[in-house]
Amino acid sequence: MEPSVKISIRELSFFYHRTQVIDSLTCRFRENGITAITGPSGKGKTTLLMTLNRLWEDTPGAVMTGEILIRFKERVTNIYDPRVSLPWLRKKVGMVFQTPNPLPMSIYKNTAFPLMLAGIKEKPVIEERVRQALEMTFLWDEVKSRLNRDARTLSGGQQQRLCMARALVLDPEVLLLDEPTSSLDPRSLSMIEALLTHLKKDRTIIMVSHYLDQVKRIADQMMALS
Amino acid sequence: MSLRAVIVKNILFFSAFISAAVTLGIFVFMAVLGLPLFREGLFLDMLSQPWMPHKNSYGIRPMILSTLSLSFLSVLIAFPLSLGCAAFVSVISPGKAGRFVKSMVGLMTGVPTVIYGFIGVFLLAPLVRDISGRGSGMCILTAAILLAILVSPTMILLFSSAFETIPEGYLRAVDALGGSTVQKFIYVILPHSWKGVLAGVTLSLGRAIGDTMIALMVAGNAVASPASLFDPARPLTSHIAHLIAADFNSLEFKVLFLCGMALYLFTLLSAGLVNILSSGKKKEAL
Amino acid sequence: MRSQRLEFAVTLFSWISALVFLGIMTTLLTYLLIKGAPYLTLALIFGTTSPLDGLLLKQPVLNGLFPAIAGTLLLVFFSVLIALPAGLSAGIYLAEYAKGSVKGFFSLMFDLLAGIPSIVVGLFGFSVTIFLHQRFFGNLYPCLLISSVSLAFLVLPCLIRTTQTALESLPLSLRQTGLALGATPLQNLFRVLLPRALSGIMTGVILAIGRCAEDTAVIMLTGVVVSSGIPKSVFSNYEALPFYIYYISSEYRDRAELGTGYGAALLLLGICGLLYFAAFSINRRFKNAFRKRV
Repeated sequence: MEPSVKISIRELSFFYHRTQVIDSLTCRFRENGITAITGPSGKGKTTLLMTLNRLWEDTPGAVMTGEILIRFKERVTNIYDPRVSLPWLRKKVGMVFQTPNPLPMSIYKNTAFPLMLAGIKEKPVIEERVRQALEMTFLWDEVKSRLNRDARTLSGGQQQRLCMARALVLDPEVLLLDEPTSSLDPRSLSMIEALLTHLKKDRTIIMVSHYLDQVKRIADQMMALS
Repeated sequence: MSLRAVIVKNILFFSAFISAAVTLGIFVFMAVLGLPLFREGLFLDMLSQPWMPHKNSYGIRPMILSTLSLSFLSVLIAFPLSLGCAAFVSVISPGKAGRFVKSMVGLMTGVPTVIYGFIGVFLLAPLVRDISGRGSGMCILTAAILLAILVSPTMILLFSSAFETIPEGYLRAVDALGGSTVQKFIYVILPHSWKGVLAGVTLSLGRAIGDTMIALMVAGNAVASPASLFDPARPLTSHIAHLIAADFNSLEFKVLFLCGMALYLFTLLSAGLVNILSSGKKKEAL
Repeated sequence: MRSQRLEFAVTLFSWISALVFLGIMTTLLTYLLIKGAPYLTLALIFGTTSPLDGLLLKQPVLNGLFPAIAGTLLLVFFSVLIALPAGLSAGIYLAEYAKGSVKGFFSLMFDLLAGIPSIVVGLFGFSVTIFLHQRFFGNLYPCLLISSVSLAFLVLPCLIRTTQTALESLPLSLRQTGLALGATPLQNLFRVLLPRALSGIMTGVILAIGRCAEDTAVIMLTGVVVSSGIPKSVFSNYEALPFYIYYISSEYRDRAELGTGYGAALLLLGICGLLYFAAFSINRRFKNAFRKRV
């Protein structure tokens, strides 16, 4: 695996209840930058994302074959190696969903949640990293006065940026985005695009998108599933 | 609406109305027949005095105390067991093992109460007698253990359905953030389902209060207020069963209506609480 | 480190709870099986009477469980017969017609009825009978009919709830199909919705049967007796399996009689287990039928 390659997929096939959605896909994603995955619906775009953080494994009737290697800072890892711990993998590979999914708790707790899961206890550290994450997603100024409000009271665009902040708070090396802007207003859309352009400098972002103009605006490479 | 539709609708409404009327009728009937007690100002005495028919004292305080201590104790025993089992079934091991345990739990809900009582008399009571070295083994502790076994299947199913109402999106979010199963349970599922858990506890408490057969067969039937776990007791339900042979027009029998009303009011309280808890949940879902 | 310990503790606790539960269950069932299985013979049911004569009512069964089984079956039959029309209609009303506060009121009433201890329902049935006996019908006593009516009250909420749930869980698309084809709401209800909800409703009926078969508190106040033979009419006393088990537990005279108690307990457990499995499999078929449609 060459040094510039972040993710290498070999002979990936995927089935839901014997229906094949991905047929022996082999491809590579370069380190840093945005790769946009496009293609008609039902062609396994979301599934492909979920093979990268193994989120599909709880789905009944799903079967996967093939190999996926990711070059993490420590070492190159076969993410389906039985020794790989899921929590560890998912802290390294963050994901943001199509519809915002804040947890039923306050804005602050939502953002701090991954830190808590990771066992970080020091309050000043948590506060600092929550602030950084919220600033990064341009949310800090909007919510700093009401951090203790339920996250579900935010607008859709704010919720999605909160989910983005939550995914970023642990500083993942890979970020998976499943049509993150499809349910957003134009203002939030441009904010998130600006954020992604900033993030891609030192992060590998893989994004499913339907909007070709968006892909042209921010993506560095494109991959069409058909 | 056509005439036929109107007729059908009215028949259906009438059925619902009758069924609801029975519910209220039970209380009204007991209140009317027990009315003399209220008129003679005996009401408060009855609630606060001991049961000594030969001294003309027909108080049901010992029975109320027995009912409360027995039911609370049984729920106290059943709660941790049920919480653990429900967590096992819905969260920790929802695969084959969880499904097996869940179907066994379902099967246990179908076991007749009288069978628990029967096993209690011949298996558990002698055991408790040997351990405590006192009396016949028919006591609060024996009855509470059996009641706990009786209510825990229902409690497990109620808890586990409360755990399973968590929106899929929340669980997915925790998964994607690298949370483990236990973290998911403690930080997201439990805080989100405490209302359902509380409703389950309330329903089980109501079931324990209302049970007759275990109280009758293994609680030991003493009309004094129980003071220790190994004391025999006679809860309200078995008091009714014991006195049913008394003369219908006697004061002794009238007291049964008081017992009935007390049990009815316990039920009303728990149904009301469950109603409030579940209506709050519906609002949140919207 | 601390979070790992918590992880381990919670997992361990849930495993132990599940194992304790299974342990209790196995102990109870094995105990009953070991003690009761030797007595599970035809003689347990028919005593010294020949089974055929007993079944055809040619000869009374004096020292077997046959009258108790027959009593329980009759009790179940009449209770469900009485409760079914009212339960179904009320359930349909709640699912299809009731709205807002009316629905809330009825729901609370049925939750309350479901929670009323069976001994209170029994007390009600008994007192009404005595009241009627003293004021109006001099020859009315606690009997099979009174027990059946009281038990009907007891299982009413179960029937109402399952009917309501079965109707309400039908998919919206199914509801609209009939209407889109020009059916009146009433035709839609009887031709489309009710037939599809039938197996869900059946689950409720089976649960109600189980409840009637196992209840002891209601019947011991409203007419069950230790020995009466097969009831001659709905106004007679009758015997029942659960009451026999209760009676034996406190009044058995010798080992053999106690053995029939174990046998009866095993028999009742078998009946209730069968009913549970019937309800369970019907319920699963009902759910699967709709999962496939979606």
